[in-house]
Amino acid sequence: MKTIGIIFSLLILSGCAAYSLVPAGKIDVDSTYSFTTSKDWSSHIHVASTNFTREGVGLQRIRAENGIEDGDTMFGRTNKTMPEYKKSMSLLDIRDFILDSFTSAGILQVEETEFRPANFGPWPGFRTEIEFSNKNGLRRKMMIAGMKHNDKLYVMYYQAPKIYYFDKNIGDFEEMLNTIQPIKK
Amino acid sequence: MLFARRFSVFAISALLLSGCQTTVENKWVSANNTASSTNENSTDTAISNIPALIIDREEMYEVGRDPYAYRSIPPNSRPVSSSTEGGLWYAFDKAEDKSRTAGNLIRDDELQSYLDGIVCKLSGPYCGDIRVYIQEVPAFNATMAPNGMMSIWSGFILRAQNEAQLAAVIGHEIGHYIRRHGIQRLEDKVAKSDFGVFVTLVGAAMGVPVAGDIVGLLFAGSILSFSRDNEREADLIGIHLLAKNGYDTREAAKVWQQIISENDPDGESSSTTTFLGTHPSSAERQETLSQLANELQGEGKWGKVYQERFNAIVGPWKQRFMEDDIRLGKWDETLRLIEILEESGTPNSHIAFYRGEVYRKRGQEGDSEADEAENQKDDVDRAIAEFKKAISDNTSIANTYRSLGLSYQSKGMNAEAKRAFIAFLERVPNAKDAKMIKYMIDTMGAPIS
Repeated sequence: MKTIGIIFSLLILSGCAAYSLVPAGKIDVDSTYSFTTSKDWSSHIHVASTNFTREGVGLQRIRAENGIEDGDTMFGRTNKTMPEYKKSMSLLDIRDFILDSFTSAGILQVEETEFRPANFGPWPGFRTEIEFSNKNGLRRKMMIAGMKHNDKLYVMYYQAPKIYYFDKNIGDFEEMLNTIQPIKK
Repeated sequence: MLFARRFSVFAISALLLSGCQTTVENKWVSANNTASSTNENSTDTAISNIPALIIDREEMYEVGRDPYAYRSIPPNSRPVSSSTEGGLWYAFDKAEDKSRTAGNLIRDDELQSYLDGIVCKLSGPYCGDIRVYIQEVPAFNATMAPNGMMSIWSGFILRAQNEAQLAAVIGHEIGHYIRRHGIQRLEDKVAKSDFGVFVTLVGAAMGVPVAGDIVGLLFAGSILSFSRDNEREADLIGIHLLAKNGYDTREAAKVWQQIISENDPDGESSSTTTFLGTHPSSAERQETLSQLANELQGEGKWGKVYQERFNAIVGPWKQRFMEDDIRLGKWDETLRLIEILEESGTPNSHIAFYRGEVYRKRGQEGDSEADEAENQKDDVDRAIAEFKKAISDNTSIANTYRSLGLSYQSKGMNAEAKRAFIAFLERVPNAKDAKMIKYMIDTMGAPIS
């Protein structure tokens, strides 16, 4: 009985998010842009972002943040211990904002390969790849792409273990980035 | 955290199975488990004078508990696994397994062997019993687990001004280990029917050395804190180890005073220093440590601070650790820390860069109706002034030019921004963001005048 109680408690604590199947095709983000994917994904919509995975978020996670507004933070909008995005930020300031957000999240030894200009659909934006170890020492790799539009920061990123999984799905993420289109209003 | 919960359940079960033997009469086995012994009466040669010191200062103890109820741990020993203390060690052994692969562990041979060397020098026969893990966490802390796992956070290394100050805190932590404060705290809590604390203690052990957000780490660290009596005893042992090993004992009081000034300038506690929560008051600590320093060394007999080798080994890390601190966005605390570093001989160009970075990232607007001219300035103006001050010195940090460029750019001073960015790229042509900086130079529009 006690064991069942413990298992039940652990299940509640794990906060299993509800993922649902999203078939291949066009996906809209925050009524601002869309991208197209040729694969089916499991997707979970948060208040401020949408997550995609195929085998579980620990193995690969693609996250499309809705527009981050002036005063908002990364990794969840209400975390007051994180640095705040300012609409006056340049693309270089945004690089600092991203790295500072990692530090505040307790991830300090972040290795950045290159922070470079790259279009995000029709908009001038940035792209970077970073590596870090999680709390268990597992090396993870991320590609982050983004842009500023109407004073909001739009970011998409792909994160996976560096060994095997990152290379396995990076092509899928790049396909998404390469098909970004503005949503006409 | 999930692992911590699972492990806590397991650890409690192990303790219950152990039958909770009293540790006051504890038995010990050789640390390498090759031979069993009950070497309770081993002589702690490095600290053989400590019991006498404790007798002399028995008035320090608040709770009236006999401080000798807990014998010091013999060197090269661990508690028998069937005891409560053995169970506690087992829990922390598992935590240590995780800390070996933690993502924020600093793996630098030179820094590691430097700190290991200080630990060995201070702890003498306990040298092989204490293992140091350097964690990159931008907050002042050092922790000692009951099993000899010592975590030193980068925020502490940043704040130490010389080797004697490092040794003061390390010696203090060694005191916690030798005097078995971990098991003392646990048994105190159990005696008060607060057994739940063990769950939290072990859970914290899982979180402290590895990761989680900074607030979580600080919370976990505070749970591992000891009682005020334990802290007093650790202070006492720490300063004696300083004296015994030829360090300037005055540095013990200085390092603690510095931390208190930084975090508690108005007598109010702060969230970034877990030490302050349970430690004796600053006045008491100052008085006691200063008095002890005089007794142990005194005028004309002060020990050394080993500034040169400290600067050579620790100095190169300070910029990185300071930048970590700035990234946390705790502007007031960071500005106080910068003031302290300024007083301790950090190059002016570095101080100006750090201060400029705080202003640039804080980005507060000026109060145009303020009486004082300084309050009318906005943070970007302040940042530009600091960066200009920094680059007037040939010891300046290359990133100063990048930050100056960003500050000018945010003011719409594109020509000045371009010049600063170009100066940065001349100094760091292979910067990670070089392509973006070149792109910005090309698209900013304003010609360089």
